[in-house]
Amino acid sequence: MISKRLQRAVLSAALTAMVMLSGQSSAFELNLNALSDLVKNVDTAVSGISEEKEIKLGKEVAASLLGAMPLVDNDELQKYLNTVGVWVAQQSKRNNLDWRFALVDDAGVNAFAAPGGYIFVTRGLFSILNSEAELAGVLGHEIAHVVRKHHLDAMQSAAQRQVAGDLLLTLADSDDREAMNALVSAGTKIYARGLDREDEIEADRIGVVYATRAGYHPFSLLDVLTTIDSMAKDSEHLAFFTATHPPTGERINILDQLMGSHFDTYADQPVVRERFVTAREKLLAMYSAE
Amino acid sequence: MRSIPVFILCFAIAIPAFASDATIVRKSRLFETPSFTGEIVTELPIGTEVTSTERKGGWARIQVKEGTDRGWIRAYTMRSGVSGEQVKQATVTTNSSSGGLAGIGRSLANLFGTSNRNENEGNLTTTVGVRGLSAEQIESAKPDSKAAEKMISYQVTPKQSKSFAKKAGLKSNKLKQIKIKEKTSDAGDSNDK
Repeated sequence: MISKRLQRAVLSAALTAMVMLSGQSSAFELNLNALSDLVKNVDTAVSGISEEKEIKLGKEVAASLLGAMPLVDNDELQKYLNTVGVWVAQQSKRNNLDWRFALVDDAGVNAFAAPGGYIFVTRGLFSILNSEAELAGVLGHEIAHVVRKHHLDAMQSAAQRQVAGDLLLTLADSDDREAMNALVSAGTKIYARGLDREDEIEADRIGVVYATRAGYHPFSLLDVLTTIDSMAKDSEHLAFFTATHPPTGERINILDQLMGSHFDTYADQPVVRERFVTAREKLLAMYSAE
Repeated sequence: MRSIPVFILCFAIAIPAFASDATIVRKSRLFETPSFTGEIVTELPIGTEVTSTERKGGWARIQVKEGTDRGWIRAYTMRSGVSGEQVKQATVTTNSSSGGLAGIGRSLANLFGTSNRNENEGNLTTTVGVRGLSAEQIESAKPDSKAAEKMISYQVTPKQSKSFAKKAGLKSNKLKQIKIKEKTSDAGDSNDK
């Protein structure tokens, strides 16, 4: 909090200095308006944005991610994923969001979340799951990222650094659009780099509770992580996942210890295999020619 | 098509199942009954090879391979597809370098990388196809707003999702979030993003 306030103060001071140094009066006026907007935008980026803006931003990030990974062209599978996803999301405190889920055409094992309630699961990940409960575990993890605003926070602090750095160079027209672009651009970098380790561990911890509240077998996320941990480490399908997540063995150990016996009462909850396997077979058949 | 069953099998064998061999990867207390309040038989050190015969919630019924000890352990303190010698080796390497829980997880992952490679290679590639997404692809991708609109069109109402859940016998509950201490004790390394 202190550092943010300090950063704002430094920024304002720098802007004031720029304005005072500006010689021509017409340029001065022009810059002053732009500057005041920019300060406002940076301020917004620093102090947190509204849910409405979060959703708008999420939609832009979603478009960016879909530019890299197209949708799997099957409405039935997409509907299945959305139905399971919405049910799990209902168990979170942000059940008011319009949650959207997408099965995306990427052979790598991965899943992503964007602010505002946009979740992505690759067909590579969907293919290695064994039940709807395992899918719910994965979705619970991603939903937790959105609820805890992990990406949003990371994007805001990255954009803040970026805007502050570029500020004295550009001083160009700045409207809302520009602040949004800065955030989206900061956003794609976060997906390329991954979140902080603590955010991933927290999403595991909160996500398993959502999946369990939804009525699924509570140990399913641990089973998914065990599957991933047992895959060849040099598998090219795991390259991006490995680069952007803490070591899977470490996640299993930490999550198992955090879960302790807290979930044992729910151990008899179903895994729901049949309808999941039907969906998975459909997906595998779509890509069997590869 | 023919490769699908083999593909599924590849992953199925990696998960501890009934009567499967496994190795303790984290110091594990052996209980007489599947309960933390049960009598403790002994403590199994890392690298102990066991045979698992039954799963009950978070518990696995096991028998120590070289010995007579049997009972229940927490299921995720063991891992299949890796030998006791390999686990011990990984642990030694870890202790001499970074140490801690995180390190063991990493070393085990390295270990799986070599031991499972031959089984998974080929099947995986032919079944799920081309190389996965990369960081560069994400950063350089052109936004596809049409696809985003399509994604938004996949609307499912909470009511619809609830009735679908009900069909599978799912009942929601009010499980509380896990309480954590301010600083988790199992911090390990924090170098990994």
